[in-house]
Amino acid sequence: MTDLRDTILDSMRQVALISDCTLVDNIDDDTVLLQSGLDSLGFAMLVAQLEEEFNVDPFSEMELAVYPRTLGEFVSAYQSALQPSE
Amino acid sequence: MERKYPSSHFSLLNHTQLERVLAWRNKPHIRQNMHQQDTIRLQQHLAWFENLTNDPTRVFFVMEQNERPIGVLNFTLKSENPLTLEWGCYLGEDDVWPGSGLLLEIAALEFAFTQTNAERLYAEVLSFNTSVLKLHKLFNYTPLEDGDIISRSGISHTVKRFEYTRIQWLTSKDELLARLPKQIAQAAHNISFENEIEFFKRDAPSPTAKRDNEQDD
Repeated sequence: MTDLRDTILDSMRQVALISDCTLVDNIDDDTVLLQSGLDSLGFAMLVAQLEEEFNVDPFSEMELAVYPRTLGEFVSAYQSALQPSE
Repeated sequence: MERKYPSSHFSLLNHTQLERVLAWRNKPHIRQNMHQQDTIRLQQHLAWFENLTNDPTRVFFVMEQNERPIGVLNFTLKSENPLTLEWGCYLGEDDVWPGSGLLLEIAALEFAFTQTNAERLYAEVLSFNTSVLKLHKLFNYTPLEDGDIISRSGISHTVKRFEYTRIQWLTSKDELLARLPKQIAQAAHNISFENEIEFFKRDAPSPTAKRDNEQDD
């Protein structure tokens, strides 16, 4: 989980740089995504970049009742999508 | 694996959604991007809705993502010659599909230029709202001369003004969508609008012309 979160945070930083966004300081699991400093375009780019990294887009491949509000929920969505199916 | 991109349906605001929209509109991060940033009281909101329902020059949609209300998209007649609509939007919910703001940007252009007779779409953005300024640049809006300067907490901000033309959207839409992250282009196919909206509809007299004629009778 920590490795996954670190990978996602690294990608967020890369996307923020490319998309000219400034991430807020001290991002943690409770950080609300829309208040993280990454904008709508940035999140779309992040999901596309993570799909290249993990070969999965949990927001277009899963039946989600609601989408993640916080970073912790965002990481959990990827964790669930990456779990081997039983 | 089969992809399931979210649906984005735009339905006209109705009474059942008024309190929800008021709660969104009064959120601090939404108020700060508005020209009028005071907290709106319920009575003001109800009066605004009453005026809205009797005004043929305005239309106000609620964006439903997978049938769940998450934001708004609104249009106002700015000028009749050439027919120009001004638009605005915001996301009221935090837990939305990543990239939903892009879908609002696409929906605004799609509605104006495929559902109405508009020749131009006009937008105003406060100069500190960099995320929207970036989106307008990405979509190739034409910047116009800056508008008023407003003051917030002693700091001056410029009203940035933009325009988009019908021909621009119709000729560059596919190319533009292809430049966006691929899931956005896919989800854009799932954008739909409430049927039977008589708002400057293509091949129909403009509502203001109709109203003027009625007044002449």
